[in-house]
Amino acid sequence: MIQMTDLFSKLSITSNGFFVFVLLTLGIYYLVPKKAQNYVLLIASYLFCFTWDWTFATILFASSIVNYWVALKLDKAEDSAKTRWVWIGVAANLGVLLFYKYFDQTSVYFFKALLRIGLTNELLILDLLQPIGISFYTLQAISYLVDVYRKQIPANHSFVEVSLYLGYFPKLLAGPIERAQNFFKQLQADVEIGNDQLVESFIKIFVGLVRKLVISETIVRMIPLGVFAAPQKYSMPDLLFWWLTFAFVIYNDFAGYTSIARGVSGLFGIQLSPNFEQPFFSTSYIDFWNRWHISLSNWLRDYIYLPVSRAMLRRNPSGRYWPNLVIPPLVTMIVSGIWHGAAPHFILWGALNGLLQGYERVQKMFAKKTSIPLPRWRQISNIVVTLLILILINAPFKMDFTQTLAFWSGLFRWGIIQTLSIHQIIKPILAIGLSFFIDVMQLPAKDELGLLRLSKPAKVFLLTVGLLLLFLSTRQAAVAPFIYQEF
Amino acid sequence: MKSLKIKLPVGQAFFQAVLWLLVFCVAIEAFARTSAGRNFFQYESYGSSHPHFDPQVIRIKAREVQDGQIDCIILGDSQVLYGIDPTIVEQAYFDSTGNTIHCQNFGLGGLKPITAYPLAKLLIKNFHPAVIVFGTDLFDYTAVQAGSDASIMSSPWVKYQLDDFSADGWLIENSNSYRSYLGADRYLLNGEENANHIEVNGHSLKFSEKTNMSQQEQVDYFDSLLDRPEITGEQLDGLHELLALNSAETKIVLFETPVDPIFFTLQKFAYNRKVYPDFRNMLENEAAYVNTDLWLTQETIQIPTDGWYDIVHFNKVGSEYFSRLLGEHLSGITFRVTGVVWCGVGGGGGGGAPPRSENLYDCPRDPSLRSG
Repeated sequence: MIQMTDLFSKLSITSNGFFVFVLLTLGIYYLVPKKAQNYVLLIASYLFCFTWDWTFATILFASSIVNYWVALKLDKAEDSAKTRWVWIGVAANLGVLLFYKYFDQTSVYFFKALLRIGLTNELLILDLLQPIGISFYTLQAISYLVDVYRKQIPANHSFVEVSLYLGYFPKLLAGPIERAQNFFKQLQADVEIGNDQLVESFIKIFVGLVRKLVISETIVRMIPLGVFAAPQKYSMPDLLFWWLTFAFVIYNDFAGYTSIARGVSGLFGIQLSPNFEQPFFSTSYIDFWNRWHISLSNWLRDYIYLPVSRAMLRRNPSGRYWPNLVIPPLVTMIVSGIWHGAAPHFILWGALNGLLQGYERVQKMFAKKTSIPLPRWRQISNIVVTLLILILINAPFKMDFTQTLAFWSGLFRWGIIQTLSIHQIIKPILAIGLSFFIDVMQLPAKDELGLLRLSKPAKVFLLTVGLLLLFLSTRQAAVAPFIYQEF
Repeated sequence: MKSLKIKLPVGQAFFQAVLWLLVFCVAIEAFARTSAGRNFFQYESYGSSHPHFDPQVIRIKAREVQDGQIDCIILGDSQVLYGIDPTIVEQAYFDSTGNTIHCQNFGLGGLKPITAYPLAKLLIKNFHPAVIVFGTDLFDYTAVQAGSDASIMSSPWVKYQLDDFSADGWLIENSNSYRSYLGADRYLLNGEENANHIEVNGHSLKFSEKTNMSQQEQVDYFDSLLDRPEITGEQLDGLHELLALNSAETKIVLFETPVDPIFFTLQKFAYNRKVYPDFRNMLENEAAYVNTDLWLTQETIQIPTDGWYDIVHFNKVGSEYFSRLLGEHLSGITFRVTGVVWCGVGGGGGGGAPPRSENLYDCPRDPSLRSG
């Protein structure tokens, strides 16, 4: 029998325990007086965090206190002192992030260098556990402080609301990265949850579960062990097929997570930001980054890209000066790479994506302006070529530096096909087909609610198929953690 | 600030979908239980990722249906799977005693005593054998191969059989269509290569010749699998528990699966020359404790030099030689069911109640149910 401690241990948002937890929280949330609702959410969020590790909850609480206090100081400070306070706040947030996320990763390189020159004879590894969601709530905290500093929003005097902004449990694990203005407004708003909102939330959760459990998990289980760990042992068809399928793993894993988080949050009357808009239908690299992990892209745009761009334009205001077009996306994407992880391959990943965006901007600058739309076949070929190039240059997202080089060189090696028998490729291809089917269904309104717009028989049929697939998928082995939860 | 205003009915499409799903499940299960369904759904799985577990369970169940009763189950790791031919064991037993027994090989690659114990419980519960013959050797107590054991014990069906209830375990036990789904899923993951080489009697003929690895490569390979030249308490506990299952209903018999003497030249054994004598003493003590039979083979029998696939496993020649010896050895062991046994259909001839016997092997068997 399932023990209660097992049910509520490390609540993952696809676990049975999580849905029991949500139901209990919902019950209490709508029973208590309205003024107490945010307190219920806060207590639930900290309980959620506690199920992972009590130290994570402590760090989150400390972060909430510091950011609440610094924002109040920023609000009251004279202009001359504001800059000092904002830097203190940003440094405190980054300090915690750097320590927990990067210390062990980077200290390895540092101590190896010291070992080599004989200044030490041991590696200092602290084996720190990275607090859940720290990468996400740190960005939110920084944006809150900067927005208060820029006087775009006033400091929030409610500690509960600031704490919820950082630690609200549906988005704690991996975002979306919310903006303070939007989130505070929703916490304070009077909202009536009717049938429509309930059904919409349910559909988001349902679609999210299908993406994660049916598509992503199915493909993950089929990917041969070692194909990315030792790509030098495989030939082009094996590497290409499995890497293409892995792109659908990442997409459906993260889009699935976001959809569930948005659905669950909707049940509490709080709409979280969307993170995806069918990115695999992008017609250009810039278009892709506007459709992929939108909340991070927007954050990077507002707090990295635009400030760098402005600084560049101040130095040389010419619109045709190519560094103005290349350096801002390059810096932005390198920061994005470092945010994902401290390893050199993430920096390479960021730099490659930044250069692609820069190249596209320069190309556009020199291209002839025309108002005639591209023929259909050109549009489709643009989508396919963009997707293929993006997937191939994103190898360092999964593989380290050496593995990436082996992978890329393997793409030019035609050898014995080892892992692509007919029975092995059936499930990944069906899963990818399902992923495209969901995207096509969602394309018209660019949200997760495409299913709702179908006729009733079609809706019932797809729900039946989805429930069957979910039932069969959840009977399988343990579900892998969400990929973005690790960042 | 937030309030709930739900008007019933809500979510009709969802509830209709649940209803359709139930109808679909019932229909597919009904079809799976028909003979047409059984032919249509070719694959079956019991939810373990171990490459030999599903084929072995499927074969022992088929054998039980075919022969009516499994008398002896030979349990062990790959040495048993590839090295013991139950048909030869049965023949040797018959040649020595004139009695027929039905033996089934239930060898699983990498099986260790700690997992053999729950598996033996499962086999006793489901197949009521008169004897379980467990083949073991020093390697079982010193090597690191936890992965195989974990993949067996992770099966929801195994857990369910051991009274750890789960919906999955219940479905695998009771639903043909669900087992077929798992089987098809497994086929899509692995193909069929793991099942084909296992015969109806559970014996695998995969190692029929000689490995391509040189002797030095074999020594290096098996050396790398050894953890340390000491007997681990965990596996010893597993053996202890397994032997404690010895009862009047099912006798647990122990035999040593021999290895090529070159095995003892593995580098790690050089650190502890005493480990083999310790192992032998341990087996003797354990067997004596539950008063069961132990057959030590490493130093008492001589396997033909061309009888090895590698330094641990027999090939066809070695398997035939050793299986015959095992059958003859079993003929000297008493493992009769002590209670009253009702003989099977066709045993007594004529109508009315079938004849009773004090001895299972006195029961005449229906020739049409024999495996040949």
